Amino acid sequence: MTQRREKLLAIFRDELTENLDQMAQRLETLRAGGGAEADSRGETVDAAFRIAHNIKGASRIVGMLPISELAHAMEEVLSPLRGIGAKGANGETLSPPDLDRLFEAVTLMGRLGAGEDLAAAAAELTAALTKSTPPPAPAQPAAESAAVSSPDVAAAPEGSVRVEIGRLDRLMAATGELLATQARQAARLTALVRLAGDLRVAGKQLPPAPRPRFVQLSRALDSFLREEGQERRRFGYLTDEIGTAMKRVRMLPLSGLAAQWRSIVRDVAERLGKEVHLTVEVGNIELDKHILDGLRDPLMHILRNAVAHGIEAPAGRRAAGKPGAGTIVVRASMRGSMVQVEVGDDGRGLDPAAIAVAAGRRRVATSEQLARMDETEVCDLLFAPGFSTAEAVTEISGRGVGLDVARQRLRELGGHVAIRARGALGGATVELTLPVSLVSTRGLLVRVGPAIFALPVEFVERTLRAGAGEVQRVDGVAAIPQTDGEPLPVRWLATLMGVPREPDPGKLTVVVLARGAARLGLVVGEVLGEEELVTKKLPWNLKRVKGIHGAVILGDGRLAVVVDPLQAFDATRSAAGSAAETVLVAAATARPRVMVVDDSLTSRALERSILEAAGYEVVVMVDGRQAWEALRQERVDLVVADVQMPEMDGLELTRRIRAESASQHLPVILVTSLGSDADLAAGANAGADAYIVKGRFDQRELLEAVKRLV
Amino acid sequence: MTKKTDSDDSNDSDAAREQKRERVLRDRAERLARVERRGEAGEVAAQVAVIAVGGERFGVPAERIRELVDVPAIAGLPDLPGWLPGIAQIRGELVSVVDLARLFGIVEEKSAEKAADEAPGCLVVVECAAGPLGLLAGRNLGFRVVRSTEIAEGFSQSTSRDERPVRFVTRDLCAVLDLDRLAADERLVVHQV
Repeated sequence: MTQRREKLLAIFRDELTENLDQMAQRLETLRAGGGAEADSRGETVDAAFRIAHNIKGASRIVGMLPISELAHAMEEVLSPLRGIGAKGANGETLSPPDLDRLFEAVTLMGRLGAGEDLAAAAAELTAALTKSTPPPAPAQPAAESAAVSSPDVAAAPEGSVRVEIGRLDRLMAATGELLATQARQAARLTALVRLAGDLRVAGKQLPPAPRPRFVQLSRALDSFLREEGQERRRFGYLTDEIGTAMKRVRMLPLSGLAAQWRSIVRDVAERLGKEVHLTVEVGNIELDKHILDGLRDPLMHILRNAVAHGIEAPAGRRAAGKPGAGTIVVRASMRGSMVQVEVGDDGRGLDPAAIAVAAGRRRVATSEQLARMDETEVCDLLFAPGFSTAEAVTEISGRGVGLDVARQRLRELGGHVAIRARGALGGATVELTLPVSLVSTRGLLVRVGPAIFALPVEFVERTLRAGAGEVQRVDGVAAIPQTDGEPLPVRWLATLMGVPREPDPGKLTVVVLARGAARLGLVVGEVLGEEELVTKKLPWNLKRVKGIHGAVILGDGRLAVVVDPLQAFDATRSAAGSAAETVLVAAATARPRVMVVDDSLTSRALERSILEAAGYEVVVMVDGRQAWEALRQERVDLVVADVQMPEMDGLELTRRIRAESASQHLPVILVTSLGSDADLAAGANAGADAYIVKGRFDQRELLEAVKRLV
Repeated sequence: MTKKTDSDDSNDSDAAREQKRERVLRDRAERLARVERRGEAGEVAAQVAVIAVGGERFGVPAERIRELVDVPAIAGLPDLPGWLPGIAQIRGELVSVVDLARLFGIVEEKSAEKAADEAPGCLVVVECAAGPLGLLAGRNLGFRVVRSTEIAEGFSQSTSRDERPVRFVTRDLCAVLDLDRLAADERLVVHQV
C-alpha cells in the first residue's frame, strides 16, 4: 500500500469514527424521542441522513464498498422521513426494529472501517435495511415538497469545520507548553518580587550618602514589578481561557458510544439466549477524544462480561423471583475534573469467597495477603493477570476475562477501575474513573529527599502530621491509629519511588490517599502545594514505568514526577516492602557528643540549648574536677569549658586533658569573660584549640568553632 | 696555498658524492612527504563530537546532535536499570538519559586515573528515529573531522567489544557510535508490567 493511500485511509477512519458517533447520537435521540415534536424529529432525521450521505461518499472514495452500500441503505430508510420526522402524519414510521437495524449498521460500519472482513454480514444487513424501507410518502403538493432539502448536502454538518486530529494534537501540545511557560513565568516573577524585597532591606545598611538614590531606584523597581504583576495576571487569564477552550475543542459526548454498547449487549444476549435491557444515563458529559477512544474497548469488554457472566439465563432468573430479562445500567457523573462511569447489573453478583479461593489456587495472592483483604480488595483481584486464562475464567465463572487489559488501558489514560460484588441493582458494579481532559490537571506537589513528586488531587483526601512514635505495626504493616475509624496504613513514598530514605523527623508529614472506601497514608518529606499541572508523557523508550504517569516541568525548570497513586494501593497489598517499612530513626552514634563545663547555670543552659539545637548531644558538668573525673570514664568528642571555676579551672582542665595520652587530642574550646591578650595566651599555652570571649559571645562563633574541631 | 694532490681530488669527489647523496635523499624525502600528505587528506568519513566515557573516547556523529549541554538535573524513576538514571528536561521536552559508561560496562573497569572522566560532565542530546536520547558522558573533548584514512581497517563491528553500537574505530582509538543501533538496543526500552 502506498504512503498516500495509507494516509488517506487514516483520514477516512478518523472521519468515519466521528460520523458514526454523531449518527449514534441522532439515533439515540430518535429512540428516546417519545412525544417530541415533529419539527425537532425532522431535524434529527435530516442530520442522520446527511451523516449517512457523508459516509457513503467518503467510503466510495477509499473503495470501501460494503460501508458505502450500508450507508446508502440507511439513506433509503431515512429519506422518506426527512423534514417529517420519525413518525409522519401519513403513517411513515421508523419502528423500533428499523432503529435497531440502523444501530446495527452503525456498529457494523465501525468494524468494517477497522478492517474486519464482514462483507457478508454487511450485505445481509443492507438487504434487511432495504426491505424495511418505509413506503414512499404520497405525492405532496409542490409547496410542501419544496420544503424537503436536496440530497446534495454539504460535506460537513452546519456550523462546524473538520480538522485533522494531528493538527489538534499539535495545537494541544502547544497549549500545554503555553500553560507551563505561563506557570514558570509567574514563579519567576514571584522570585523577582522576593529579591526586590531583600534588596530593599539590604539598602537600609547603606551609608547615608547613596541612600536617597537607592530608595528612589528601589521604589521604581517596586512600581515596575507591580505593573508587571498586573500584566502577568492578565496574561494568566488569557492563557487560562485558551487552556479551557482547547480542552473543549477535543471534547466529544460520552453518549456517542451508546450505540456500540446497545449493539454489544444485544449481540451477546442473543447469542447466549438471554434477554437484557440496557439503560444509558450519561447525560451531556463530554470527554477528550483520546480518552473516549481509550474507553471504548474496556467498556465493551465490561459490558460483554456483564451479559455473559453476570446476567443469569431467563429460567434461572424467574426461579429466583427476578424478571426474565436482565438489566444493565451505564451511568456517568462528574467528580471534579474526573468523570465516573458505573456499569451495574441486576445479575448474580460476585462471590468474593470463590474469588479468594481461586486467587489462592492461582497464586495471585498469598493466604496472608488474602486474610488481610476486605471484600472490595478481594474483588479487585479480578484485575490481576492471573485471572485472564481460560482455566481461571472457568473457576470464577468467567468474570475476570481480560479485565487486566482493561485496567491497564485506563491506567494509561490516568484513570482507574474498581469492581464491587453487589451494587445498587443487586448484581456486580464496575466503576471507571477517568480524567475529562488531557491538557492539564491539578496536582499536589511533595518533596521526598531532593526529588519532587506530583500526586493527582482527585485521589488526595487530606494531609496530616503524625508523631513518628504513633506508627505501629497492624496486621504486619505500618499504620497510624485513627480516632475515627480503621488504622491508616502508611507507606513511605521514598520506598515506592526507589529514592534513598532519609531518617524520619519526629513529626511525619502524611498525604492521605482515598480510593473508594480504602485509605492509604503516604509519608513524604514536605508538602509544597497544589498546582495546575501539564503532564508530559515519558520519553519514547520508557513505554511503561509502573506507578508513573509522566512528569511536569515546574516553574523553576525542575521536573516533578507524576505518580499514579493507585499503584501505591496495589503495592501495599504485596508482601515485599510493606512488611519491612517502618519509621527510620537516625543512628545514635551519628551525633557528636559535647561536654559543657561551667559553674554558671545560665551559661550552661545557654550553651546547651545552642549546641542541642545544632544537633549535638550535650553533657554538662559544674566544674573542672567533675569534668575531669567524667572524662576518664565517658567518651566525648569535644569540651567547651569556662576558665574561672572553683575546684579546677578551665586552664588546669585543659592541661590535664593534654597530658593524658588517651585524651591529648580531644578538642577544647575555652569560653570565658577574660579577654585580655594575657588570658588568650594562657589559654593557648594550656593547649586550648579555641578561645571565645563571652562579652563578644556570638552563637555562630561557638558553633563554627565546634563544627571545625569536631 | 695548499697544492692540490691526488688525494685531494679524491676528497673532492667524495664531497661531491656526499652532496649528491644528500640531495637525492632530500628529494626523495620531499617526494615521500607529498605522497603521504595526499593520502592523509582522504575523504571525510564523519564529523563527530568526541566525548570521554570512563577513560575511553567515543565519537558522536555531529549531524545527529541536537544539543551538547552541561548535565542538567535528572529525575530518577523507580526500578529502572542502572544505565537509565532517569529523565531530564531539555527546552521543555522530556528526554531519557542513558549512562553510556554503565551501558557499555566501562564503569566496572575504571581505574584511579580514569576516575576523572567518570564524573558526568556533559549530556549529548541526539536525534534518533524514535525520538531524542540524552547520552551522559564525561568530558567533552571537542569536535573532529574523521577521514577515511584514519579508520582502523582491521577493526570491524563484529569484533567490537560487548557488541557495542560502533560504526568504526579510528587508529587513535576513538570509537564512532552507530546511533541507530544504539537506539535499537532493547536494554533502553522499559515496559514494566
